[in-house]
Amino acid sequence: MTRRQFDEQLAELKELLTEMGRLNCRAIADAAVALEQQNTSLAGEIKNLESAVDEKEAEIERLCLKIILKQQPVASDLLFVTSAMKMVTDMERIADQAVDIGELVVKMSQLPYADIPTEIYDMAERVKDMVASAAESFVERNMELAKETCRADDAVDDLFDEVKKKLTHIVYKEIDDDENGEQALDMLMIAKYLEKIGDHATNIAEWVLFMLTGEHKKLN
Amino acid sequence: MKFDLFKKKNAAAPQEAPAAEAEAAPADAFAKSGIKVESAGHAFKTARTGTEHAAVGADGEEKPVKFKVNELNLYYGKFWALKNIGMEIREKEITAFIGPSGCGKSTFLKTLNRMNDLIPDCKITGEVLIDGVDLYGKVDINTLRKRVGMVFQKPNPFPMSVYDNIAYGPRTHGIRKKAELDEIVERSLRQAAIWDELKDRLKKSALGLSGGQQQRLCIARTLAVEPEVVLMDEPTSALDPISTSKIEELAQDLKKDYTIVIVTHNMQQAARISDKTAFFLLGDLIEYGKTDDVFNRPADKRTEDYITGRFG
Amino acid sequence: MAKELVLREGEVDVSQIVPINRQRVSDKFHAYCKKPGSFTMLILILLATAITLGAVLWILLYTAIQGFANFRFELFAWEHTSSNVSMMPALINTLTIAFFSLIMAGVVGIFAAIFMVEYAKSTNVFVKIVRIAAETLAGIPSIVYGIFGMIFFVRMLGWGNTLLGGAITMAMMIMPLIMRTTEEALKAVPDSFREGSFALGAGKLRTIFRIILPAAVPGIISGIILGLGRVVGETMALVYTAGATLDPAYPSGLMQSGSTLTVYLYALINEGNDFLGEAWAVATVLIILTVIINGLAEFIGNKLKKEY
Repeated sequence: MTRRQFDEQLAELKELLTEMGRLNCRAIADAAVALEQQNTSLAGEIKNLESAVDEKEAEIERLCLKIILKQQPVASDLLFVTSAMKMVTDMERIADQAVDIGELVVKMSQLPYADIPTEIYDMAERVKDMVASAAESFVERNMELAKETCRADDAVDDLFDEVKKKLTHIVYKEIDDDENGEQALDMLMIAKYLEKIGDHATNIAEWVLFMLTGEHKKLN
Repeated sequence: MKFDLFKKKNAAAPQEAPAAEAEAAPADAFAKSGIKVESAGHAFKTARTGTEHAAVGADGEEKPVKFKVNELNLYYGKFWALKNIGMEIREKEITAFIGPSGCGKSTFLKTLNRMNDLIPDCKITGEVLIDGVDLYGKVDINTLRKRVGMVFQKPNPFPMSVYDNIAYGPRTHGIRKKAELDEIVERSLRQAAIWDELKDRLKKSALGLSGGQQQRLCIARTLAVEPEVVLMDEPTSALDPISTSKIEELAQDLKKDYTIVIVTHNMQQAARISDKTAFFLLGDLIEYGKTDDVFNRPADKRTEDYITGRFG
Repeated sequence: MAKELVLREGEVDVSQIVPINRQRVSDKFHAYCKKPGSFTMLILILLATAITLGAVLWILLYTAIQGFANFRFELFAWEHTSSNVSMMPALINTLTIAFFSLIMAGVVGIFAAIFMVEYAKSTNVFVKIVRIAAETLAGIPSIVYGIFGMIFFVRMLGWGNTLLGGAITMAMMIMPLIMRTTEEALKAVPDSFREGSFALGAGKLRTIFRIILPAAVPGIISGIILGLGRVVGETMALVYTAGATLDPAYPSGLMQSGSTLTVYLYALINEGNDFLGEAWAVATVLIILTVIINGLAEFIGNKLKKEY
């Protein structure tokens, strides 16, 4: 091996990204559970995960700059480092949105859920899987899994439309009931966050594809 | 111009490439590496024996061919130094040859102006065409070398004054008038971006210059005979970083008027300045293509290993 | 009044600076005390230098003093007679033989060297033979050349003793020397000069005459000086070819016999004690001649070097 230090740094970068992906998965999984069970303590803990993710993001960015400065990567190494730098931004946004969901769950904990479209739980489940598979496709350099992740976003988008339609109906129906109406709007925001998380997971998968092929394409 | 004693063989070949193409040839491979929306695919994959490397982009807008090499083999004694090389080098582009020491890149460079003729025991087979004319055919070697100039690894100014160094080539080709020589000397030194540094010491010995200045003087000396092609054999390997970047910048400027082929051990340099990159290994041409492609997503594993520094 | 200090750009006044990187004599002494071996070596080296310098100075000064004491104007009379014992004809003969032999040996030697280095392949058998022959010739005692010259020019061609015969013999003697030194000088010219010239489209001849020969001039000059020294100092080979007599008594052409300074000096010494004073004078002239020749060669070498 002629570039031991370089290879060690790349391995470290991969390790950090894997760790960050794992934290992300936990954040979104916690958010999904908290949403379903109205679990406020779990919802509050997402905050801690998010700050851990932020730290990792800063650490990864520092390491990437160091690698670029000291090792001048080219070819697949360059693709790896640049995609890492882009990926962490999406990962960080995912954690932020998980926190946002957690805050809404806490806010909504005063009342039991009224007539909630169950598709939203399905959405949370699917988005959780997307984040997990995006992270896995990176770790395993799995091009097929990355493409699958991108495709999975379509279902999430469809579910979001469905949820939106049902919530619109509730808001319209319960026009005199402030509390139920507000709950419905908060739910809509949660759905939107979940939809955004799906988009970020897709972005990550796209960066994985860039890393593997050298071409960046918008797949959705 | 009187000095143009040697007419181009194919006057019909278009000289000006479309301006858009010149723009589209990015200097910096890294500047574009992030997002690559347009797909200029490799038109070629791996070099195997006898394979032709055309280096045509998907856009199809390519400059005219300057050199065409077919099934070139070169032997030093019993050593097979170049194996079935086939490639096209385009006009007014910078083509970089990279590869580990002893891979044949310098040897191949020297076949382009027949400098290998000086080496005893060197046998060449195959075909090298310049503007469609076989340069190993009935070509006057001195005329050929005037058309295809060369800059060497170590700066090699002659032990004469700066002025005489530049004037040596033109004088060789029959220019005697002082006024004409003065003009050529000034023009060449300006082209080599060294006129301001040297205009007051034209009569001083060229050996007293710094290494970087000497190398630019040698470039100016090459330009003084108005070549069509400038071959550079690791021109910056003996120079400091500042002189190196000056010469790299110079190469970029010269691209407008000259075809440049450069051999370099510095891969960042190849990535920075060249339009096309050819990777040689053990006498084989492994990969040849647009520099962006070669450095971002090399088609051959061996190229990747070499440019990422994991060779061997 | 103190001289005003002139400082150019980038220079500073260093007169007040006390450097820390100086070795004082006491430091050196202490260092040598610890290493008696290197101290002994130092003493030996100094001694050897002193002996060499002393010997040279002694010979030069002694000869010069003796010689100048015996200088007379009539020693430089145009015509040699047994009363004035003029060395002028011998001096002229020396210069004549030196000039012609150098021209001949120089041209042939340099061109032969050019052929050997620039044209013939290094593996060429012929070149190897020439090189071995040249080395052998350079080592042959000069008397052998003398015998050859006597048999060939004096007897076979029937020239008798002539300056031309002497000059050609001398040329043959120094030709291998000049060829070998020129060869080395040409080989010492970096190949990058040749490559640079060829790469500009220059041909072989132009490259050799414009680039390589000028760069090799200092080496070639030193070869010529060596050759010149041998010619001026040569005695026995000339006795058999150019002759040992001063007859005719004044310089009168290449096809006449005549002795050079060294031969004349040899003749004077052979006369016994009568002409010892004149012998010293001739020796002094020889020394002066050598100094002038060396100085001239140095001067020409520098001049040619300066040109680029």
